[in-house]
Amino acid sequence: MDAILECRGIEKSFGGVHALKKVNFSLHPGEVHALVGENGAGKSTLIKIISGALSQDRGEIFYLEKPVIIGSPRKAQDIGISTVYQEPLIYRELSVLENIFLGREIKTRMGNIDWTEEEKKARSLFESLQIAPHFIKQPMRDLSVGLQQLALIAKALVYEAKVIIFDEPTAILTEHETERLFEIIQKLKERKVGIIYISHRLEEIFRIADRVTIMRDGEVVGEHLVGDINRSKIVELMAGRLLVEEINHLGKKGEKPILTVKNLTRKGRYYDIHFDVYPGEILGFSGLVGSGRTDIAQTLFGLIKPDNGEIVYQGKTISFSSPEEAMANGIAYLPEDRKVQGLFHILSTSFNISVTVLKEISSRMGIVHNSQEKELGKKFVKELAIKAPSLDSKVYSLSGGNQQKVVLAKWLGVNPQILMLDEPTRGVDVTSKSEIHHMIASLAEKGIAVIIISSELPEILKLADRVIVMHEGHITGVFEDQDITSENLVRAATGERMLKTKGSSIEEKNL
Amino acid sequence: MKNIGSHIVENRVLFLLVLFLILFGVFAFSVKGFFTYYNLTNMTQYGVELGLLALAEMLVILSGGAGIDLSVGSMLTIVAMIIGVLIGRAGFNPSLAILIGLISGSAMGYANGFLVAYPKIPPFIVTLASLYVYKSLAMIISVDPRFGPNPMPVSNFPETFYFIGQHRIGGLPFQVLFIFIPVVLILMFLMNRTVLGRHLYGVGSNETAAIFSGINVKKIRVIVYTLSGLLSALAGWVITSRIASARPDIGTGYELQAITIAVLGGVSIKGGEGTAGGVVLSIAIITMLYNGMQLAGIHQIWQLGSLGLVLVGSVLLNQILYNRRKF
Repeated sequence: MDAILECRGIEKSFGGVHALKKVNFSLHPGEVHALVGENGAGKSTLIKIISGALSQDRGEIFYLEKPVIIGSPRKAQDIGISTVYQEPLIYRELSVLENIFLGREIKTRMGNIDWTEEEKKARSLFESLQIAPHFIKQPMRDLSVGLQQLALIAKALVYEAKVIIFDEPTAILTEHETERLFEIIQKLKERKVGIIYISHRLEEIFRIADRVTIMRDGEVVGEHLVGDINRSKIVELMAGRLLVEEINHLGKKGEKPILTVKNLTRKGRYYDIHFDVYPGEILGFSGLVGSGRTDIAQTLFGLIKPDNGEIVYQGKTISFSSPEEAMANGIAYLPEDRKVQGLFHILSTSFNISVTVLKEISSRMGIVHNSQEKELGKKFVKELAIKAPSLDSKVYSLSGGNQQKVVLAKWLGVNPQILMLDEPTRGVDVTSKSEIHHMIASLAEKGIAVIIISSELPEILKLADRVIVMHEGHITGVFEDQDITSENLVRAATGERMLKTKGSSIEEKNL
Repeated sequence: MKNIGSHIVENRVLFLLVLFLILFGVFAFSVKGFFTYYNLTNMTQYGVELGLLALAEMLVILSGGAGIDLSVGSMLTIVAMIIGVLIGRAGFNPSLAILIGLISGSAMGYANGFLVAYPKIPPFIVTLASLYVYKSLAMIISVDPRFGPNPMPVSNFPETFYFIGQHRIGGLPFQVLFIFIPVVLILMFLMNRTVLGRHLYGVGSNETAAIFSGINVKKIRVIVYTLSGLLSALAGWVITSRIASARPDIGTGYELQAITIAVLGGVSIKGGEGTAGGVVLSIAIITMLYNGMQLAGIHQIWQLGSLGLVLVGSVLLNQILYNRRKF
């Protein structure tokens, strides 16, 4: 069949940076065409051109076999190219129905909005995707991210989209929501919609894509049918070199725990939490988002007050009332949401790296030593291979992987005794991810107690020496050595109680 | 391919500098009596009081969290009255009276900061309330029971009190040399080189990230509003000395002009963005504009309108140039 969308020889430069070099890309109806590449490879730029947010310097776009100038996101949507971003662009206060029909309202003859007709159409739309539309009258803000995404897909269908672009749609979805999304993508294929699918999770590509285009440094370095290629080949093309997947973590676990948590409870968040952390180990926290992992970390960091229980740190019972206090005592926490909690976007790279250690690089009077600040910045840029034009570059101009490295640098500077990492590689490209993993392993080797909270099983399996699994605020499993298997982790995460008692094998009982 | 043009368009401070130079050129060529040493030095004194208030707004707006201080004009007025009454009616030593005035201003700023930081009342509401409370207090203080229940200005000051507002060194007004310039330099140093300054930008640009970075957000907020009170108090002292009178209505309307100048100077109303340099240039532009218009024989009633036009015009021009720029 002929292509619905075809890009020929697309070129784009930003200042001196050649972001896209003679890029060709085509999409057929009913096809899922995956677009992969590391952050900064040019995927986003290409997508922005196709969705009208940017215009190309050179090259042509053919849509339904006619050359088009897309020009604006509005026009893209009008002609049938819709984009579903990682974080859905929604009007939070409006209802799902209003969001879906915004700009394409069905009107009565009097010119009023025909709510009955809209509702009828929305219901049939959702039903055709096999989703019970019980939420269509609720305000968008009450919906989970997964449902918000579905509403945007429905909106795309209202606009009779022939092309839907998914930009890392599963990054913030739960596993269940991800499954549902894949089913819907299948339905969209049946409707002959062409889908451009961007993801950092290569497994997903093998599950749902028909074709994959791999980009590197602004160029297309490969276009293959998914059946003709394997994972390591894709990674090789993306990186331009083979990646080492193994992590050598030879850390020596300390004898005595540096931190002991007893009986910790905060109603509604977590209950009766017990665990020890040893210097030099990597302790993994697994479980679903919202299972209480983040709340425990934030409690140790002085952000949440527990109702009862005890935290013993370096032999003393502590109760930090602010992050300031926790940091002064050598506890660092890398938060899960780098955009909101981690970074000062409009400020410089240097600022972001040094903000947590200003006390150490300033005089008693509170005057910052510029030279020391610069040195610190340079040191981390080198150590973590942060790609930034200069230390003065604003953080928002960096790619996701480099932004995450900046957040990491910010916390490493503190020289913590305990480093808690909450989703340290979320939304990060493959190379940066591997670099960050090596960094984490080497920190543990230096004797730091590392706590890593992650929703990605491979990450936990790869890094953790010991894993605590949580489910709805309770610890449902603690695993060591050969017991750390994906099967065990998934079982505990879904609520199976798998606590190991000393000396016996895994004890199983259902909650 | 960045050229000078796009630098100017992207950098608000450079843009203001160019605007300043153009305006300066226009006045120098077209307005008689503008380009004289006397006028150029003399007009600077008129920028000091409003300038101090604009710097106060800069700090508060920069600190984010919808920060704004509507009470700067009232704090200026009440401090002017405190100093005036203490010296003129109670016979205090001027230095002591000034000190008390500055401390009171800081205390009133602290009260604003406390209400914003701890019970978390929106800054707009807190300072709107204190605008009226402080203004009313200023009038209450100004009542001289010997002459009935109405607010009265104070103007019997000893000769030494006029020094700061009326004296000159080499033609340059004393308050510019010994108050305004040092304040600007201290603020620049504070904002660029100190931990406090970094924390201020951090809190202003992303409050949540600031909390997660161990920055004491509440403390920063309180400090910023307290400094706003102190700067307003300084302005209250200077204006009293310059016009040789403490009047209970003197600061009326200054708060909005101060906010306008801060915003014109490139302080982002969203917080986290802005520099003292930009605000100083903005003060210079407005002071020069008022002076040039006055010398050209344009009536004072045009002043506020021109302030508004410059604000909208400069932002508009900046945007047009920015959009027309080729990447």
